Amino acid sequence: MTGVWLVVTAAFTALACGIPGTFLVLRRMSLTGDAIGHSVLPGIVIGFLFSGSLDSPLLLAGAAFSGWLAVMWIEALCRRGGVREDAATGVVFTAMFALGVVMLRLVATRVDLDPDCVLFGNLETAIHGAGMEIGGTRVPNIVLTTGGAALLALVFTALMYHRLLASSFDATQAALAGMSPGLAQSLLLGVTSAVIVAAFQTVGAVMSVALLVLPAASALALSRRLPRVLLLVAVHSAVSAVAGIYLATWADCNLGAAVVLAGAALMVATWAARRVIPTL
Amino acid sequence: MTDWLAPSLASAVVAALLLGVSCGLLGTIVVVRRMALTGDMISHAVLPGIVAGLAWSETRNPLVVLACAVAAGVAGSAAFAAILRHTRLKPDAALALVLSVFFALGIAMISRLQPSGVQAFLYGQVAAIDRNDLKLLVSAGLLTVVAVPAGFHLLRMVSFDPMFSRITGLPVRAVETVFYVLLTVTIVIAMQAVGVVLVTAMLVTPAAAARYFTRSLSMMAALACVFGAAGGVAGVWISTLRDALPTGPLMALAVTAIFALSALLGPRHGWLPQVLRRRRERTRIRGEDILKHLWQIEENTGAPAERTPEQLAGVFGTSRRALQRFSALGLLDREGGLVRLTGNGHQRATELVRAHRLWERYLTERAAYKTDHVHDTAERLEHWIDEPRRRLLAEQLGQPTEDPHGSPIPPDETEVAR
Amino acid sequence: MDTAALETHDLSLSYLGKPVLHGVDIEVPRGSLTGIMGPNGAGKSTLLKVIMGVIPADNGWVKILGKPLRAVTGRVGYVPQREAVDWDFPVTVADVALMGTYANIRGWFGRPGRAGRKRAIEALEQTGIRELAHRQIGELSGGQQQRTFLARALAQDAEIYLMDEPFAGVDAATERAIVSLLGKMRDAGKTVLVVHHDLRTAARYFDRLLLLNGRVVAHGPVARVFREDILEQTYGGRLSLLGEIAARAARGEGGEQP
Repeated sequence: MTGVWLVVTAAFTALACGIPGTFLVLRRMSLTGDAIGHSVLPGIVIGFLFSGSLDSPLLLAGAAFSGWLAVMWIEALCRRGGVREDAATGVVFTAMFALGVVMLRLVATRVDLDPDCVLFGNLETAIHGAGMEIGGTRVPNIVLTTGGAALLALVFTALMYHRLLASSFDATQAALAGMSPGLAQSLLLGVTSAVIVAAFQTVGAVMSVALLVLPAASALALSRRLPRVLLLVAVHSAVSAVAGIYLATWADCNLGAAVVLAGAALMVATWAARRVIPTL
Repeated sequence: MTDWLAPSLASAVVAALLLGVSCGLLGTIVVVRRMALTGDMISHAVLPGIVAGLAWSETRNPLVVLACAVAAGVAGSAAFAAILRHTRLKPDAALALVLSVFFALGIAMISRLQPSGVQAFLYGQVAAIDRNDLKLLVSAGLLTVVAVPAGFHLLRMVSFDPMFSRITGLPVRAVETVFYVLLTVTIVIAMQAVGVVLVTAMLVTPAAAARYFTRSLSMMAALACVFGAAGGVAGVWISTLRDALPTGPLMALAVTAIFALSALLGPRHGWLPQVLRRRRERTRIRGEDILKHLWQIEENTGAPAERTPEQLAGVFGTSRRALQRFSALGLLDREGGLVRLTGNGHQRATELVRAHRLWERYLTERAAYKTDHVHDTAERLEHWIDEPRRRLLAEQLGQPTEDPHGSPIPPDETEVAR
Repeated sequence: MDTAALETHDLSLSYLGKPVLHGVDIEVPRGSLTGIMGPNGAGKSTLLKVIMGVIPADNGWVKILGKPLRAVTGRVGYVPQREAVDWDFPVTVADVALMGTYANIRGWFGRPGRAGRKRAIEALEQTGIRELAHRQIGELSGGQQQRTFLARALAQDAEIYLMDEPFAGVDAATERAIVSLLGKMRDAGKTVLVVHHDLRTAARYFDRLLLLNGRVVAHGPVARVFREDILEQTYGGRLSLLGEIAARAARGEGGEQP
């Protein structure tokens, strides 16, 4: 049963990240996703202090805010502070990550949060951790959290599809048509922060960007139409989750890392296939 | 206080100093070439190499670890290039991919091999830097401090105009490779102090802070070294104040604090200097508007104008600073609670009105403005038209005597005096 | 009906202390076809961006159909420069044309309806690329790419169109097709402003010209404006007094001394 939950959680996480991640890739904002991944840490620590659990929606919201704040600061530095975008990103995300680590160490005695999970994820512990009884089976909380995140990502994308498409492709035209690209972007970043926080236990803070970018990177090899790309993203998430858990079991290594490596192998395979079969 | 003399702390401080300087130097080039996130990619990509080196070398020989790390860094760079060449993915996605996938490989290897000594690289442990590490640090630091200034001109040329450099036969490829390797080595060493994620902080933040003080590349590099060293040492010192405080993040936060101060106070683009400068401008413009206002009242009524500060505030908004400044400059007279033009003030006001009305003529005659649109522009730009330009304007327009609305253009007082 | 299609007042914009646009003050009548011409760096594309609100001006205002931009959503259409488009984006020609109809989507979660789809298809037919509807945009030739964005503009059925170098890098047939399309749009009462680069064709393609060199050098009917002395002033390369003063103002008003 544990194995099933592992795969399900990994799949939910990959799906939750891969869908909004597709739009990040299309908007050339992959590195913003990386910055958010590092910047949610202070929010997570504060949220954990208040709620005591990594699965609390309060923590999710607070940490997502922390990520969104980082993006605002990066933009402020760029626009008003005369700093180039790459340097601004570097300054902000490292500062927030450092803040998060210091906070984590300071409260380490008071909270039951393993500092290592920032870099390694915490999947196995979480699966065996707190859970809820649903219809006779014990469902680990993390399954519900990541499932909720995946649902959020899917619903968000379905509802905002045309706005996301318009603002990703041509923000100027979107603005002229009254599609509020600025708002769409803010919402996208907010959802990204939320799914990254949900992914925190699966892959930790640093590897979450891989889950954001890998599915889209693979899907774009096989399709040049957005609806199909999104479908392929979902397929990639599922396959890399299954393959990853198998890989982790076989190689006896970290679960989150294995999912990422499986996803990377898939990506290389899809692009290699495309060169060999050019009609794809 | 005697803690300072403890050998481990001393070596930590020395290490932090050297790191600050090396990272500051290289970081300047990184920031100028907009490679901040490439540096981030390198620091994550070297992890598998470090783990391999640590697992392979039982004695934790730093040179072995370094060599493996550099190899991993080069592999990362090759992977990046391959992604750009063989896929349609954009550079930002390629960076993010190499960064996270190589890091994942490193994590997987750590969880499998559990090599000792990897903690230092992940989280940074300045205090754990021993004799061998220090020797390596000193060598790498010296190499950087020597190589970068020596190659500065070359680097500067290659950074700003790689195309031109290539055409003139400069060894662009060689320079870039050396730079990349030097950067990777410094990153690997810095990782032991601040941990894998925060190397970017030591590299980028001091240099970004230095930008607020100067445009000169050499000055920027010097300042970056100072900031990096100061932040590094400060971080080490703060970590001694309490048990179990991690040095790495504290060093990063220290350099960020320096950055924040620079962003607020730095003369170039700093927030406070800009606010102050804008305020000075507004005061000057407000004062000049008051001068003109009094002049025009005199023009209309035939008698020198007197107004109370409250009346002026009613027209222009709060003017206390402007009134103070302009009376200090001898342009306004504030006896008996009333504001008047002094002789100098009157002259200055005449110049302003002349500028404004000449400008209105120019805009309607030469710049295709409609008569009802000229006032705002003239009102705005009159404060920037000095004497030579007023003369030029008058010449170009053929010494006109009236503005588009029929008001007389006051003659140039210096001309009249002649 | 007397409101100008587009009116700007004293539009100025500087970047890092250098003025890009200064004192742009124009009135564009409805139902006109205007070519915007000037040397490189004259601010032509920037002017379009300021009109569309993409870049905020340092001062001055823009009125479209007598109102500020936010009050006329959907009534301004835009054809971007080819370099500004991400041709790898996973959208088809039909998708792009359909995006023109997005202005009519009501509410937050709406989607394009049948009417919108119909207009998109008609627009594709008008631009002669109906059979390319399912191709991804990266697979098209230069002329076909330009027609795709024109189709988007037509599908929008806006009142004012801003186009950034639509003739750049297209084949002769496409060029003729675009000229004919522009004429039809003008005849239908639309107002079209086109950033153009080719002096040889400017006088033939447009009714009016706006000659820009950071500032407005001249603006009006082709016959009046297309004169050697005015062209010399536009392309001659000397900084005008207005430009010089604006530069000083820009450096003082929060700009940075280069």
